[in-house]
Amino acid sequence: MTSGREKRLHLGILAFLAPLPLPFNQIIGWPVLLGYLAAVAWFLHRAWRDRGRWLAFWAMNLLGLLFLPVFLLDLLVLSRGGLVRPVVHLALFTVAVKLFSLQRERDKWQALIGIFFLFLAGMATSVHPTVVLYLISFLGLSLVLLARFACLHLLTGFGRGRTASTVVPLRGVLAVSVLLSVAVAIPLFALLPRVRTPYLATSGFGPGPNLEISGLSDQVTLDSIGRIRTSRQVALRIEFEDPERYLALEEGSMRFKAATFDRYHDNRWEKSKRSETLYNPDHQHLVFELAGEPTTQWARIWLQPLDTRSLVLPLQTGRVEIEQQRLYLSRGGALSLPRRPRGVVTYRVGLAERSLSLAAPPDDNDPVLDLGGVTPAITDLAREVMGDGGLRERVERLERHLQTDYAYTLDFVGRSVEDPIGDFLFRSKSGHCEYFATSMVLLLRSQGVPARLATGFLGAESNFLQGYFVVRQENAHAWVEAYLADEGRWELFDPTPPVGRPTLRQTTLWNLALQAYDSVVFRWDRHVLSYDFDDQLSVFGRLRAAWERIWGLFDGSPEESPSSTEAASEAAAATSADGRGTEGLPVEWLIGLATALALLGTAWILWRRWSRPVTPTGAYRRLLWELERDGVEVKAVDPPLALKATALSCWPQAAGPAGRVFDLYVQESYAGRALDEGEHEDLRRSLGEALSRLRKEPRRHA
Amino acid sequence: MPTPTATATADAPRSGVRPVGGSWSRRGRFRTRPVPEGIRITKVGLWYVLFTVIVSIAATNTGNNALYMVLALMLGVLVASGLLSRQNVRGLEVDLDAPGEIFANRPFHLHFRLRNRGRWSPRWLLLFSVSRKARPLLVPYLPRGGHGVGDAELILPRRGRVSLDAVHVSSLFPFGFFRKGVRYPVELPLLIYPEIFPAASSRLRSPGTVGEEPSRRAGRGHELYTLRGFRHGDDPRSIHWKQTARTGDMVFMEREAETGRRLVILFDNGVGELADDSEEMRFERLVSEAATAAVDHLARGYQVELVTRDQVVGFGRGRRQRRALLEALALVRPVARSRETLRSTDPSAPQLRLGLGLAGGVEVSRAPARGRRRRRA
Repeated sequence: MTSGREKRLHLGILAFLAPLPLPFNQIIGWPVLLGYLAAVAWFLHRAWRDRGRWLAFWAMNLLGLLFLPVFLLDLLVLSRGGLVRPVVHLALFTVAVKLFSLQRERDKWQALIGIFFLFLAGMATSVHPTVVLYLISFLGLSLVLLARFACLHLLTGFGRGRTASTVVPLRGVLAVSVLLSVAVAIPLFALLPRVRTPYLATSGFGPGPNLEISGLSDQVTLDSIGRIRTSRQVALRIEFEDPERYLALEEGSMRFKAATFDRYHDNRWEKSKRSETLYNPDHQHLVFELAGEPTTQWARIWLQPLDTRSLVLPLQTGRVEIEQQRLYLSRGGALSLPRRPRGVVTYRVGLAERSLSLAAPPDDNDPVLDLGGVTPAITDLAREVMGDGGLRERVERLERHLQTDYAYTLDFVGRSVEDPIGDFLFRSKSGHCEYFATSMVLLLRSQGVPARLATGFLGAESNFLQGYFVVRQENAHAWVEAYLADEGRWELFDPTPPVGRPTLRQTTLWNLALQAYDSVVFRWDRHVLSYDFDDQLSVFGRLRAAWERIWGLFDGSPEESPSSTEAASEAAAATSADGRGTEGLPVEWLIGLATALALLGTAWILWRRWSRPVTPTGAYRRLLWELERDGVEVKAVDPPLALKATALSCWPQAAGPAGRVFDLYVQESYAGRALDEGEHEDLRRSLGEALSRLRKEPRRHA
Repeated sequence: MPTPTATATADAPRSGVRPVGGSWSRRGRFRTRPVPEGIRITKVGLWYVLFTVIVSIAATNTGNNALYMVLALMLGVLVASGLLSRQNVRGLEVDLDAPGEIFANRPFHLHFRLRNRGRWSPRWLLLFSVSRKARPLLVPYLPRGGHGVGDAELILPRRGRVSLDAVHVSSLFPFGFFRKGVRYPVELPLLIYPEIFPAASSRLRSPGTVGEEPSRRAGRGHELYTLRGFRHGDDPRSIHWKQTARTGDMVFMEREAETGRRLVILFDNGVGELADDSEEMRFERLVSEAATAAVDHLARGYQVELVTRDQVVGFGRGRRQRRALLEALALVRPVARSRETLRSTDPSAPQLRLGLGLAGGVEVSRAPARGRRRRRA
């Protein structure tokens, strides 16, 4: 293989790999990528065949000029002023054309620069964990390319032909290079200074894509939740201090409230415009007190971007700790952020022992009594089903009626679009949670009972790897909040039949796989994509605390050491400030690890010492050293046989083995014959025997 | 110039004398600790560092952790490159083998054998050189325990004792970012003989046949000694074809040995301290002319004697005499001035006088004629 051909093949393979993430990240379209890949594949084919004719420079320049209007069209019209897409298109075109005109050595380096630019674009816009595979692959191929280029450069420069180029095996050292680079890069990634908040160029093919359809936006149709119920995307993750206690409280289920809807018209729900602004002037302690109930435990929530400002909260939430100074509390008791978040929102919630309603009692202007969507038939049905009795009893009767007499389905083929609730109540008698909840709200309002639609999530699945719970979009749910005037409070009713409600998922093999994947995504998002200055402080604090604890153990007074306590408290403060860790490094594990490493290192040194083959020269020098210890002046010009005679006269007790060592040395060094395996063994044994006798028996000093 | 070859011959027999300590020899094996010679960044390395800086600016400016990953990996590659290249140029053993005769200003080949003592990793792309200014030789690959051999061409400008104190090993391995070099101290003493001039450029005129003494015995000379019948074992090239044709029997020309040809080189090094560079150059030139005359005449079968102010190398011929003369001339130094005339042990032999005090530096004196040689029929 000629060096030019080999270089072209390396460049072609790298050029093939470089732009692969771009369409996943929605930077370029698939047709553009496929066109580029076809060009590179053609180039690789030609390079493999080692075709001699390549694109002339004038043709390359002409193609560049021809692409100029395309670039302008792309920049000004197709991309509507956006710069990234046209520039990436330009880079793809440049690399593809450059590959076909690799003639001089510097052309290859120029092509490599173009490929590197594509790689950077692919990396900078990627958020999915699989980008690590891409990164490692690109690293490996780049190192192969660089090593082969250096090798070929030298071989060519020294006039070594194509046969010589094949006698330089690099596979092993390149594997070591990749591993070494990654091993160095991991701590470097953690230590490199972060001065800005992590910026994600695109949501792309990442862990938390925005939901275009959500049951939590300002306006929802009756099909909003039904559609997202088919999605397995993660909506939020929650980690409890004491999950068992929470599950006991919730009777095995988890319910998270996100939004409430008061107005129903034209078959869609609207949020109420009225809300209360909660303002916290304390920059240091950003906790919002929502209810006076005592907090029994805290839970941490990571909320994915859901195309909404709503803050998803467990029903027991009495306090919220979040890096915001302003929140909005709707009349329905739902919290929302000032603006729609682009990334993951992290916050902590203080949970009470019971479900809390943050909704205000209805007043005269409250839309919870709005009769939009209520028809006479609905009124008649409500009157018939609810009957007489106490308010709670009547409402529960209606709830049971819907749960038992209606069926849960996601199949809506042939349904009326003009009057879906009428169709649900009187004809099909089947639907999903939004139909059940909307019908119950309208039925209650027809009887003068204030009610509203509440949306959020019901159920979760426990991630056995991380100890948190994952709430997916398929857990989206809708229910009813009705105001029981005689009790003076809002009460939750869920008319959806139990079979249609999302619940805590059982652990199946598939779920375990999903949870493992989710764990990877979560860790990636948490520890890589959103790694920032606070994380660095946290890491340093924990390392310092661990060091102080280790030092304290050797110092004998770990508890009394003020510095260790201070460091530990600082570390705890650092971890609680960003809310991403609750405990320091386990000191016992660190000590055990260090001890194990020390033992391994000692074993390795001993093994190296004992397994090192004894060379005749080494053995000879060892005996000369022993002679010098005995006071014999050993000159460099002394012939070995003279030294042998001296040694034998000094060491009669070791004359046999020492003489054998001298003989083997002379044989190896002067007779022109290397020792065979048996003689090496003889040498080792003789040296050991001689030294042993010298140690055991008294010497005759010169 | 022969190029090094890499061979995996860990068990190959090793021959030669191994010097112990400081005794000087023209062959040596050296297992000394390498001394770092610094790192020189290459053009590729410069571009790599530049791109690393660009990525670091982009990462810092955007806070994009994916770019931080790229940056960390690029720095990781730099570190890996440094560690691997450091490992690559260490753990080597150098065997050097210089030729028996080394003349000043004449290229010679220093045979080297580079052995990888590493038990874990091979060595790649080693550049071996004896001098930092010399063009290095490439040893592409050394397997674990294997060795590569080659010849480094050297020219040393001055005669006398020279100690080759180090060999230089550098490498662009693994990625060609940096050229890392180390120096292996070797301390290989060499004796450089005086420069030998080509015959045409020598100012010396041969004493010619003056002083030839017929030995009166058969031998390998030029003059005819006798004609006799051809015997089994005689050299067929010496058959006298005309006489053979005339007599019908094979006639053999036997020649007379020329053992009596002698030359005395009287080199007057009693010149005191040399005044300046030009005088030193003249002195060196005279040494070279003496060496040229000695080598030339020894090659032609002369017995040559060298007489200087501080030593005499008596008459002799052959390789041993050649080495003795060249070693003496390699080490000859100016000594204190003296008015005494240099004298040979054989006053009758033709003499070649060399000295700064002579006109032109050289004087040739012919021996008195001893009559015509007799030819035996």
